[in-house]
Amino acid sequence: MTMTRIAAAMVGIGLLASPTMVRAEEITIGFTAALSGDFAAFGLNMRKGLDLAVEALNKKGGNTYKIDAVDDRGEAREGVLIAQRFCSDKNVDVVMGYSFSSIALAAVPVFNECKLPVLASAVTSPALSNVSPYFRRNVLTDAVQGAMMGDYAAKTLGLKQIYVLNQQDDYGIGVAKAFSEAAEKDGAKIVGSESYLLGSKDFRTLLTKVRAAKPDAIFIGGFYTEAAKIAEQARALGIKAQFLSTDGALNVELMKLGRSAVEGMIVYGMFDPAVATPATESFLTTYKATFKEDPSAWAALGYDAGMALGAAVELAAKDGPVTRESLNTAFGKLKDVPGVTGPTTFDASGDRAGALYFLEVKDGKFGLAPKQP
Amino acid sequence: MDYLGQLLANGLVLGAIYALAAVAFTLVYGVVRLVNFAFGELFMLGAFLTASLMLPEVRLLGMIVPMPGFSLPVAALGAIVLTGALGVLVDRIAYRPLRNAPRLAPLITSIAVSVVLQSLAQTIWGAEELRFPEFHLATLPPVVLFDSIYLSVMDLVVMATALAAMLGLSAFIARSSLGRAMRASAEDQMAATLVGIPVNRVVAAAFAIGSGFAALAGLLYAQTYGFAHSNMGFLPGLKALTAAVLGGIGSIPGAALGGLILGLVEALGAGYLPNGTAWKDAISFVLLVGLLYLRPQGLLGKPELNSAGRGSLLGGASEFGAAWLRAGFAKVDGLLAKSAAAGPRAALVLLALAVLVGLLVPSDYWLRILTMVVIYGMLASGLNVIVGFAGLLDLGFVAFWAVGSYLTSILFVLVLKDQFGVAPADIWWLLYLNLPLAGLLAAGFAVILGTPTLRLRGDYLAIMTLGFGEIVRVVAINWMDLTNGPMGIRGIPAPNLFGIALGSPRAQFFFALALAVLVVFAIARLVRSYVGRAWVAIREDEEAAEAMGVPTARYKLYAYAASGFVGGFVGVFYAHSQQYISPLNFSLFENILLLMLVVLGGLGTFVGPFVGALIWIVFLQLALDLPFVQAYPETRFALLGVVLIVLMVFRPQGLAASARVALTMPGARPGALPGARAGRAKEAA
Repeated sequence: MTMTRIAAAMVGIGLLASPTMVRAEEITIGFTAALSGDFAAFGLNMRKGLDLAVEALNKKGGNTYKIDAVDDRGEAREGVLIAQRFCSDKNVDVVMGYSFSSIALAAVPVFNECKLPVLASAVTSPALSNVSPYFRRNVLTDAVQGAMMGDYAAKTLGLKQIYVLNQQDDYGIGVAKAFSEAAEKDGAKIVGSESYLLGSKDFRTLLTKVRAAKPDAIFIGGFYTEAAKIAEQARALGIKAQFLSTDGALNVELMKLGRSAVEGMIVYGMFDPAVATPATESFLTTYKATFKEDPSAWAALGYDAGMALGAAVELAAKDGPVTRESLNTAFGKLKDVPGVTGPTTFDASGDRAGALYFLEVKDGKFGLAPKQP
Repeated sequence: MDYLGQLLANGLVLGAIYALAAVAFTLVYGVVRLVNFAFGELFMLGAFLTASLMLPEVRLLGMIVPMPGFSLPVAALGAIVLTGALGVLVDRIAYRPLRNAPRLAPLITSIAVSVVLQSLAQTIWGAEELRFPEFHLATLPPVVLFDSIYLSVMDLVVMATALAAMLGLSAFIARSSLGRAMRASAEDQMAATLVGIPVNRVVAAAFAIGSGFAALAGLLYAQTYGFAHSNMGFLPGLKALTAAVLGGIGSIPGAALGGLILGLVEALGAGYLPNGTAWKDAISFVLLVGLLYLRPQGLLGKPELNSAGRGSLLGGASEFGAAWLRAGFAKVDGLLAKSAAAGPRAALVLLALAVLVGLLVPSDYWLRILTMVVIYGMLASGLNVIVGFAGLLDLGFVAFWAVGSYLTSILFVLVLKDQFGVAPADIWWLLYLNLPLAGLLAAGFAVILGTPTLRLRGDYLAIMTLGFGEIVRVVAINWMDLTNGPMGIRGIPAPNLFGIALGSPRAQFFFALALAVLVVFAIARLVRSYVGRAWVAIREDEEAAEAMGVPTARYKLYAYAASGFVGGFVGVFYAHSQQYISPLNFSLFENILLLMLVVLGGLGTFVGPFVGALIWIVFLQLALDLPFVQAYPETRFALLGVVLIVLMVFRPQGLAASARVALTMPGARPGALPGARAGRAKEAA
């Protein structure tokens, strides 16, 4: 095991050192996310998207791509180990994935050490902005997204009494804080806020509290699994308030789990499955044909991350062999790479600028909400 | 009023489900004295099977499979029968061979079974939640009491079912001949066997009924909250266990009462405390700890269950183990016994080997893995002090580790860097101060936590310490001003010595190795002292130790303190080597993991924890490269679970059991004293 790695490393170094042989043929993507355990769904979705992107890139010819997938199981202790695994494996040119900001944060110092570029797709913590010159992500931070939603709720929808619920982790806390601040600035009143632990199933008590506050809207800063349950249990308790949620809830599973209860819920996201541009169209049909299900936002982001990598590799290959360093530089130079979640450009902080769609659940499908800002 | 009324209604529904699952724990515990952690997973399977049987088609292993589409009652019956059969099968494979093994072995296999079942469920049904199918009663409009208390028709069905099932079971136990046989086996298995009761069959029946109850609870839970998911059993399983202990484990009315109380307390606590929902898991554990302190046997339990000395955790390993030895183990045993006899020489050889490995391994990745092995080995050694030497089953050890990690992180990052703007590099020496400081803090903490547990024995003790561990974790998540909550603390500096950065994987490995030498040496000295002899006396027979004049309470607290010290001490280094910590690092699973490492390697040995850590961590990393695992990531843990079960069934006393420190007859092995240090070298296994 170790021997093969050493051998592989030697070959890698040898190839790098020899000027005549350009090692641009095969790009290895180290992919890590929670692929098993409690929160595997996000990681598996990202991977499906990335798989499609890799397939498309390989079909295009030129450089070939392959994925080395490692499961972090959502366990923090794995973060450093996996990062080191990719660092030590000289074949790995770029790392993608990451389901949890906390695991990405633990891994960043290691990637800094070995100068391996990372392009993450599902981690939204503001703590990851400016964290390293080698870390980038193609998803907006929860601070930015939450604030946009807060504006939208108070200004565009004109909601006055909002109850804020959030899952008790960096994502939920960040997005709820940004949402509340923006909504209050625009004149809405936050009538109460509560947090719940990720993976909670029983929200009746929480909602009994919410019901007593008589809000006209409930903001759920969390994932679709909990959002669906909150919606369903709220309706069963006779709560009629408007539901608002986040990109964490933008997932076709939301309607499968919440059924009629999530009708009318408004969420936001960088991906609108209803908007049929030519790029999204082909992604949608291929995805459905391959996986027999509708793509989620994470799959879309995983796909776009793959496409951004393709563009970066092309860019880097122009100036010689593709190395970790040249790839990292190329990521910084990317400009408006087209994708299903809109164009990708990374700014110096490693974040991506982008637009948000506000979507409403209507007849069991996400559609553009009637009121847009 | 309507607020309280709604809370009570919510609590009753939840309580009914907890009570049903608690029956499973209580029934099996009553008969075989085993806390079967796998009931949480049987609970989950009950939900999945019911949902699948109700659907016209379901996606299994990624393929669409046609299903009968039964209505809820038929599907539920089918699921209960299937799960009951599975429960019997699990007992046959994983528990029955261990009936006479050391008591911790079946506990570990039950956790392993639970890991296997959960991973399999995820492989079969997928990682997404499965929507629970619509049932016509569930579509009826809710019943509204007093204009403001909403209860769905299914809520009423859930409560009625729970009540009926519980009454039925009580009648069955009281009246039927099988029920009588169960009661007899619960009283005294040996006597029951002597009067001709087929105990194995009775135990199988208890597993079947218990699993059926778990499945029933699971499917009602899934129906109520509308989904089935592979991890859905873990927390309700824990709550049901809590409920069973609250009510008095072994008592069926107790389980019902415990479930009800737990459901109500959770609902009311979450409803009336500020941000109660985030704290509610802590509420139920605080209740548990408080009750166990006042009434160790639970509300309706028999006091004997707690006070009856049930022998040591390691009891008679050699006696029963012989039957399971295989030639390979015999060789390992010989080697271990020889090395233990060789004493300091063997220890030095192992240390030299570890240093050599540290120098020669070229890959940073493998150095990181080995560092992790040493860290987990040290932590497991700390746990081993209390479990392996003092014989107190502690499931809250992870709290001491967290104390150490948080102390150093808060000081370095949140206080000195963020408040005073001190660069971590300028105060590198603080790390070396923090090591003993965190150790002392955690030791103090351990004594405070240990005091209320002094009256408890065996599994009750385990549950109470588990409660403490969970409370600490929930506090770490929710007390954001202190710990930065789930966001964790980042930017913890890597170790540094006189300005020389020790951040490289190789430097960290040697740093960890040096700490391990200290830890193992200290533990070895302690264990060889009069304190250690007192611990072993308590472990072997608490009553006898007490009768011989050993002040057991004081020595138990020493054990807590020593184990806490190691936890805090290692926690400091852990934080600096990870450079980022969050409450995610200190979950209950980590504690169970450490316990598994100790049991796997061998309780009461110095080398055992490191052997266990080596096997576990290296296995997980190697398994990553199997193509099959790459395609189906969740099978990695299933594989691990299977390996654990096999190891436990064939080697219940642990791999390195022959290196157990012989303290039961002082002076029997002169010169074995510093053999203790053998623990450090990881490559030994």
